[in-house]
Amino acid sequence: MQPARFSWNHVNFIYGPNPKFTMLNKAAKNIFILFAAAVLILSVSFAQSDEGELKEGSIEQAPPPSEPSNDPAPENSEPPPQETIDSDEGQDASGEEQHDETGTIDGSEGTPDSSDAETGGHDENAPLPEENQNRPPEGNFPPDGQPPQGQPEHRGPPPGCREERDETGFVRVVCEGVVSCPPLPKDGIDACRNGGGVPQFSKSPNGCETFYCQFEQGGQLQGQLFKKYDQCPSREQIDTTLKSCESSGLKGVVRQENGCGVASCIQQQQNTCPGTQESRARAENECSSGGLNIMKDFDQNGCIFYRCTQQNYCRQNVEDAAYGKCHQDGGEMIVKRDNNGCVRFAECVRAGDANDVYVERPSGVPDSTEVLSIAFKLEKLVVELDKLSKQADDVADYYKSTGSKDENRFRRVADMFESAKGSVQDIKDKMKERLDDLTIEDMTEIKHDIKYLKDVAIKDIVYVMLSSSDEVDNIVSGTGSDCGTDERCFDKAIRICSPVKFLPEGRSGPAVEITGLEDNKCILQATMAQGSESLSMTCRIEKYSLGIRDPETDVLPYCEGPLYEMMKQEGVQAGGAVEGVCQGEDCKQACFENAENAKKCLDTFGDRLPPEARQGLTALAEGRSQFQYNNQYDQYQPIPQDYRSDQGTARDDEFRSDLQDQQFGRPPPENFRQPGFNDEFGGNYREPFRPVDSRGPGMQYPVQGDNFRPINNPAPGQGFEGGNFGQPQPPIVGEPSQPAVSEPVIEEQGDI
Amino acid sequence: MMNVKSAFMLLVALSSLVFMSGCVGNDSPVKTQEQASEAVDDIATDVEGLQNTLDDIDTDLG
Repeated sequence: MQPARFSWNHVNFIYGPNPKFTMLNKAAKNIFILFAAAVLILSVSFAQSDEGELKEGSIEQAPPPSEPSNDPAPENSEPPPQETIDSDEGQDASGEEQHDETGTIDGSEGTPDSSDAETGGHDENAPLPEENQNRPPEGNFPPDGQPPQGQPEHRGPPPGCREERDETGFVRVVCEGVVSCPPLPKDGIDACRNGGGVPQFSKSPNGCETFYCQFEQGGQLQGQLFKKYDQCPSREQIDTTLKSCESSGLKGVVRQENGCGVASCIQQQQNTCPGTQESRARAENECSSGGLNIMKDFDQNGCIFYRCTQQNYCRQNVEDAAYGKCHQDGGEMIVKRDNNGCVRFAECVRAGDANDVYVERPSGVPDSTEVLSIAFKLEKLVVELDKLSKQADDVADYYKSTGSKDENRFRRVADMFESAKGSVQDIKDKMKERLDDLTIEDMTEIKHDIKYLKDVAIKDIVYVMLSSSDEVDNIVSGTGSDCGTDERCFDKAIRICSPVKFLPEGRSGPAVEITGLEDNKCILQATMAQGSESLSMTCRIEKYSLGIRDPETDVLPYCEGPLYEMMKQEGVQAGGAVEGVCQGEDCKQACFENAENAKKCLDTFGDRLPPEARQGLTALAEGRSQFQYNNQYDQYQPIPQDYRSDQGTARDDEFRSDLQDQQFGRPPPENFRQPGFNDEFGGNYREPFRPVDSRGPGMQYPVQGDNFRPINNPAPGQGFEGGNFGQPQPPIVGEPSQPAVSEPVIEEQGDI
Repeated sequence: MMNVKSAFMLLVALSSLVFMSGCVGNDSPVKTQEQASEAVDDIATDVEGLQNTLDDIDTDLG
């Protein structure tokens, strides 16, 4: 049987004039037509795309907002300002009207922004951007510079301040002049000392020093690269500290830092401004009848309050006091006006201050109904943050299409919203997991997270989006700066992923560099000497906008490289190795085993050692140690004071509490417990260490990870700020180690 | 019958082409400086609402 040969005739023979086959031919024709149509559509699509680009290009050539335009006023311009319904506010329209005719914005920036097509507060009925194509460009004022009839004329900034307008129409009011810092509370400092605490000082964003009081709570910060408490204070220790605060006349608060909740005392502040919640509740009540808006405003003292206004209320100016207060607080006032010259947005913008985030211990745990209500609000937050993240991304995409460097700014803003969203989800999960057995500690932690979001994360977002500070300019331009040893500077930089260099332990310690944003992740590179070699790691941090609260969860999971491998094995406290002698924790003993080891340890760690330890090792290395005569006890010297109270070989009454490192919570080394030691030296084994300051632990044994610099006893010339932060020093990377003694203390980051 | 099939095929083809050309996934609402300004304005205003919500939660937490 011959194989059948295919032919159309054969097909026709078999199937006859098959309609299906006819259909195939027709379908082929249709496909061809479709293909042609597709080509046509694609051509049109590309043509539209080109047109869009041309359109954008032409916008770049448009006159800046401050320049006058002959375009007519938009159709939806609101009527002139109307009286506020809030007659009982002392700082209402009547107070503002007296300023109306006093002048205009200085120089060419005198015309208010007119990019918006609505008046007063945020109008949810505002046309969508797509519907706004026919709106005139910004600056719909007549060429003579005078506002159109019926529109308010706004005055310029107060003396000493100047305005800067950006392309989005926001006006930044930058004030010059020295910030006057309030005096430090001497009584509070004395009360802290008298109560057994250690006064600590940190700097606010305005450069003023703030005081808080720290009590021992059983944990010690460790780690060269990232600081972490070796153990968190217990609930009892926190309660004891809070009681100590109270008895010292200070306010006890809890901060979440370095992976632990830590109690500290702060001075009760005389708030210059009342809380806003009351005025907001009142305004909400007044506005409940509908058709009214709640508006945020500033009073004569520059304090924020809320008022209920009519829909078309026009706020003409921002109180002068608000500019001054904003400058005093270390911020810059950002103002935006609508087409009619009415103030639509006014906010004092500054970076968040993590030092300012603390909570009072909650009195109780909310019941299930309240938890449910909170859960709904958190869900609402997630939705809102997601929406804002997408909006910011859209703006970033637009700037990318125009080639503007502002893309960097808005890409970060989008990321920061995304991080904040993640944080809210974490809080939700936390509440869900612990719903059945929520404790006061859980509530403290959640409350802290919420406060951090509000006072740091959200403030940072607005700061990055609107500020023109050098720091934000660095983000926009991609240029880097230097934090030196200023940990606060670094923490702030990582929250906004600003390119910086940071030397946590000075120039002889590890070096950290934030290089910028890649694929929505903040890239951090770290290098640390380990013995004779240099280890490094690269971290691609996802939720960078929340700062580094616990390096083990916030940083290390996103790292890779030899340094990470080492830290993974030894923990974040890792660090320090002496070639041929010891590595990590072992160095605590090995360095003191004999003169040779002591010399090698001195060569390796150099000036990273605290003065006392350096002195002891030097004595040992030079054969001057009083213990050298007896080899039996070489391994015990010089003996860390931290271990004396724990090792149980000495009498309790030998240990003055002020000579013990109460923070040190680790058990003593095993060989420290060998018999005979106490008998031999009769407990007099404090030599050759010098006495320590009675106000705090002055000496700490060189510990693996803490870079051998005591937390409360910094290297000469280094000082500390805000607890354990070193003063900024000039960063010198790659130079040989030199004693820190001669290092000048530089107060301002900009001077580095 | 034929017309229905053709129309269906046309629809499928057009949808595929539109999707492949990126028109669907790349529809950013911000195309002009003015819209960018408006979007920034909206974000800044909405952030205020976020802070109020956070304030409320803080109060609820006691």
